Amino acid sequence: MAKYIIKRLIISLLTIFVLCTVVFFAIKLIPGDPFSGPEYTDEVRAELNALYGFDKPIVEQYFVYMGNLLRGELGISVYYRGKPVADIIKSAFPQSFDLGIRALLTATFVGVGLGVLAALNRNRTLDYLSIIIAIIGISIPSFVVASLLQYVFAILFPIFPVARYTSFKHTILPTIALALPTIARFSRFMRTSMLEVIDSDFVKTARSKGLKKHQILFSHEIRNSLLPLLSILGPTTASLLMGSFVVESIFAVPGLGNYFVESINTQDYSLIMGLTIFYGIFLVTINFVIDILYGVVDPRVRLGGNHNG
Amino acid sequence: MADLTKQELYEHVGADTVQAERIAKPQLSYARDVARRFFSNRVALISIVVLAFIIVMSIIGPFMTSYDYRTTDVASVAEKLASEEGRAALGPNSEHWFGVDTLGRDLWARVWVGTRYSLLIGFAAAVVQAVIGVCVGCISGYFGNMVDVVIMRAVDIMDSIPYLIYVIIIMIVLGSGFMPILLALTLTGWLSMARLVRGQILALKNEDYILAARNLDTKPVSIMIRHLIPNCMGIIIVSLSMAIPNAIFSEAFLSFLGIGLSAPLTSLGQLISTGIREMRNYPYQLIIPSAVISLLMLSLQLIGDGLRDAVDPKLRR
Repeated sequence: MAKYIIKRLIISLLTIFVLCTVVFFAIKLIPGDPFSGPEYTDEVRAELNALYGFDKPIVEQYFVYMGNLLRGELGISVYYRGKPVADIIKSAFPQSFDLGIRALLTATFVGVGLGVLAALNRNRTLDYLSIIIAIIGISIPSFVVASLLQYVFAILFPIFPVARYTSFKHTILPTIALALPTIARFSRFMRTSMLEVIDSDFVKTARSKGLKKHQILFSHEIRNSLLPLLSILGPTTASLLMGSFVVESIFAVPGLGNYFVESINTQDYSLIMGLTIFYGIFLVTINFVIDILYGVVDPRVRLGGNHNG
Repeated sequence: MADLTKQELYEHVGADTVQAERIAKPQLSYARDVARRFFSNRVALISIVVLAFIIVMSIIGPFMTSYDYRTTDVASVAEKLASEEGRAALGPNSEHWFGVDTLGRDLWARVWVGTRYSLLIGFAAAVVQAVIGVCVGCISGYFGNMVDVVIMRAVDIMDSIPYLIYVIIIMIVLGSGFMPILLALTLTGWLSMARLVRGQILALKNEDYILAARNLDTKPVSIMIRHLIPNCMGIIIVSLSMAIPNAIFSEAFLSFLGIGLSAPLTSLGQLISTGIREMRNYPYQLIIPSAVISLLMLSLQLIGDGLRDAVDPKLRR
């Protein structure tokens, strides 16, 4: 187990290192000078370049940047003058986290529920209904879903507020929009997983022992089909994160995704850089934790070593 | 009846060993078997019809109206905006079938031109991704050892960050446009294909016919091209068909972020992101392109599902 954890840890750290390096050189590659324009005289420009360290060789700049990252300093926003990127992240993260957790919980309950119902009613109306929901959830882009939800339930029929994120009522539409693709993913996955478990020997044993139907359902079937769901939790977090860009900016939720979209539009490179690195570290950490958890619950994962199918 | 002897009642016909071994059912090659399964799937067939319709419209649609997709007519829009009836006349009417956008451009032409670019990006990106993925996967799987470890670790590292984040960074560096999008999508999209092909090659490379080819001193490249890749074709095609909607989605996502195609070019994603801004007053500008992209994505997804079931019926449940 220790060897498995160390191996995953090294890969995770390497990933973060590669991402930080790529982001640094990518931003350096962007043509243009931050201090161009008539208001900058040569003298002022030289002074500013010296102040920000842009006059140093690129390798030295890289080491300074990596050193700052280690200390948790992500630079200062260009658009929000003087505001440190780390502060923006600190103030925006709670909203994104809140929305993400709401969407994840909704998706887990609805998605798993739909998947179980579909498997129990295989090839009947309910099954087809859940497949249709799943396919729609997977194939219709989230910004279409989000904007149509907003149009129908906030503008055409003003049941919910159009935007912002202050009360429970405000959270409903963004949560549905963000959860829908994950509901689809979970229900499809759960259905396949359930069907496998239903056919397995231990369920037949439980049935022949004369256990009650709901006992078999909850303590044998659902419990065992939930396990593989852990393996798609990593990609799910990633897709929730990408979805949050869209949903937050459509519903004006003051979260990280909204800042990210805004930073692209305002070309606030230090904010883009900071947020990208934050996202990277966040996702890698989540993936690391999930990998370890999966290794704990399913020994085959860590003993198998290389996954050569 | 009674006077008939046994010999007269029964005749010994003997056994024709050749006939007994004959296979009465016509033999189907793997490809034809897959095709037969695919075409017996009604949902997939309807999706093909829908997709074909969208493709045809994306080619001929813009020519069906006399309006150009990028000619603006701000003056007439401003004039119509002045009155209540004029504002309604911006929407779909007999002149402009899908209405006009806020710059007076004909939405019918724009939607189909946008569909054309979305499709172009989808297909081109998917094909290039597949080529890169198949090459990398083949090399990694066939040579194994250190080559495999290095490539697969690199794939692991790239894969643990959503590829859209890389795409966004590349797009910011390259600036928006058709070629930058294609480059950004292909640089990042080959990972899953490489992993899939590698897995398949690992399973195939110990088969007897590969051993035979190797003993005959066949070069690795021709073993790959002649034997390995044709035997992976099933999963390659399925994965390719899934990559097309993914690429279309990614482009739409980039357009939504404002770093997709740049004007005068347009795509469905870009039309939608404009539509979202005008949603309150001119909902048709959002709903029409949304409907087209949804139909397109649905049909591509269902065709992909159909192909997957046809290639590997065991997966079907």
